[in-house]
Amino acid sequence: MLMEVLTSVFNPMTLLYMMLGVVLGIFFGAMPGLNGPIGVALLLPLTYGLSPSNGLLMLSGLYMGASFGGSISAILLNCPGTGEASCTALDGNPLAKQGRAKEALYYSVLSSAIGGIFGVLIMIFFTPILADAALKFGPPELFLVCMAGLAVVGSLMDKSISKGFFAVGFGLLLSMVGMDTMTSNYRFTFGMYPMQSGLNLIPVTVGFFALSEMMSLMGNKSGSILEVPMQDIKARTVLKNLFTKHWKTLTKSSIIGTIVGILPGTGGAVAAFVSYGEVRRSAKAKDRASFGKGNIDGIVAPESANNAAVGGSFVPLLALGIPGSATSAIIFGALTVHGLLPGPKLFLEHADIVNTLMYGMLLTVVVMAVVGIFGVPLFSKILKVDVKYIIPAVVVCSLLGAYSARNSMFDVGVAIVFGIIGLFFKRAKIPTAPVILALILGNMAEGNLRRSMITAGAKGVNLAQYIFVRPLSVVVFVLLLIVLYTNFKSTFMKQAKVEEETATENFES
Amino acid sequence: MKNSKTNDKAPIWRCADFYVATFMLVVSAVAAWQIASIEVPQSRLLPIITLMLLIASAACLLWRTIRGERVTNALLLLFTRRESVLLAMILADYLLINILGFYTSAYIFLVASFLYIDGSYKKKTIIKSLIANLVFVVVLYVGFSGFLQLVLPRGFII
Repeated sequence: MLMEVLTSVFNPMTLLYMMLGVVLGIFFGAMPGLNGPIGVALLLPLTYGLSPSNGLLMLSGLYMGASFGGSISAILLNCPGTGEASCTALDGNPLAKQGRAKEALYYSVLSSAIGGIFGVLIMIFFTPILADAALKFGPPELFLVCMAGLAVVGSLMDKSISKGFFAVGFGLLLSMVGMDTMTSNYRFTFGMYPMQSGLNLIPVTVGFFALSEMMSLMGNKSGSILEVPMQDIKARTVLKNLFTKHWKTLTKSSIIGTIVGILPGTGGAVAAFVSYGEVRRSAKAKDRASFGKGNIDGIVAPESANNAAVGGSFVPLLALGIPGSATSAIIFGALTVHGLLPGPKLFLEHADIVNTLMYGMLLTVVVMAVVGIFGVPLFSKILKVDVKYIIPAVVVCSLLGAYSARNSMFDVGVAIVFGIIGLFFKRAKIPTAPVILALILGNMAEGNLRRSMITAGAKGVNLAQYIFVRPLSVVVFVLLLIVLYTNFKSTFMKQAKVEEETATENFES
Repeated sequence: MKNSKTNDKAPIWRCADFYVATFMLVVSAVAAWQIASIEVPQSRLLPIITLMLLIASAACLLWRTIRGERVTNALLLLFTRRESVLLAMILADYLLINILGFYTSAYIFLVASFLYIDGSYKKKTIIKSLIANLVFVVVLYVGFSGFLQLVLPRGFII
């Protein structure tokens, strides 16, 4: 059996399709506005004529590549190509501005590869067990997980807590735009027909990050983005550092990424933010201050987590037919197109294809690492390109990406509006990362809260009683309390320090 | 413009945070107006909690500003002329997409913004801009419309 799988995986044509998928994935991820789900959806028709294993491996390679690719534009241009990469931009871009772009990119690709391998290995060996465990996560547990994700904002806030909370509230409002799927009631649509289908994450992210960043880059009259000399570093050195200095972050984030990936409906962005928040929370006080200014752990955590989530999201998909993320939902479609119905029977009826897919995914990670490592010197050259080429090109690609999310000109308008809001937020020092996080989690949190309330009502108990009789809910709730306490404790301490400094300054003046 | 901080005796209308707090209150007011039009009570639960969060954060910032903490220069909030020009170009591109098509309007935007950022309108720069951006648009066309079959808005040219 293993020999058959290996023969199939190392078939030259399979390798070629896999490589094509990975390269396209990196490209889709790196382009602001384009991402994994769009790439998989666009490439899906091209797989109809291929054998199931070749087609699925090409799409899986694209999914894996896009999870890493988003970090390239996030690090170099502060224009994250994907939702999950908006977390990488927090520390990646400051590092690039310090002339350490190559180092940041090497950390990104190697963390992505290690996280990816971890997630795939868990998928290969533990799919049946983990799929059962994922089913135990009902609405109350998923609601508490969302709350734990939102608690991460405590570590994403800058110096002003009120502005941080406003950003969360603003993101939550955006997540509620459109039709309430549980009551069919329209909310925050301003009577506009296109608003009824809600705001898509892509145009909002493109506007908030890419367009606003390009407008603020207009401050540079001409010349390259990088004002300091580019520092050189070898991939080998970074790999060594990763295993000696950052192994704890790597391990923790890979585990978090895989677990979050397994939970239905979550995906890489939630995994990236949760692991970033956890790493920042558990950092030593002196290290914590450097987050947001170019801390290596700030790249290792989200990158390893979002790639680990790729393998994780395949667990409920293959074993139960429940997609763990938007991309795996499209891959679900690809499986059915090739006559494979995800679920327990898949492993019995099409064991050869499933095994080829699972072991082949390990190879896609290796291909991604090789392409990424060799690509770093090339990618980092973008920083030396004159802004007169960069700004117009990024704006056009962003508008194209915003349009292609739903083939809608309305989304292009949304991206422009959020570009203006994003620039204002930057000027007003309102953090943008909590907006994106709340936009991602808002819908999920509300849906699960209301489902829990309905179930509790049907059982004749209140919500608290319903949550606290479920052992898994209690465990998640305790974890949530720990995350809340430690995240906000550091934020309030930071605020107190700022107030003290201001008082001293005012006294002196 | 360079001074990011002034002392606590500066008038409140010179403080950036005063305008930021006002913006937050405006957003809260708009949210409250929209919440009032939601008919089903269950659909109002999270919006109302969010509204309370928005109002509390705006009030907190306003209170801190009135107390004279962390006062920054209000002029820092304004967009610069170059940023406004780029924004105007993006808006023009958006309006032209449906008339000229995505690729044609993108080409016009690319050339115009290139020349504006460069600040030089010499013949050599114009030719360089026309050729470089044409190559870029062709690459986009071949990649997205040719290879990936992505359907983009078409105008009377392409």
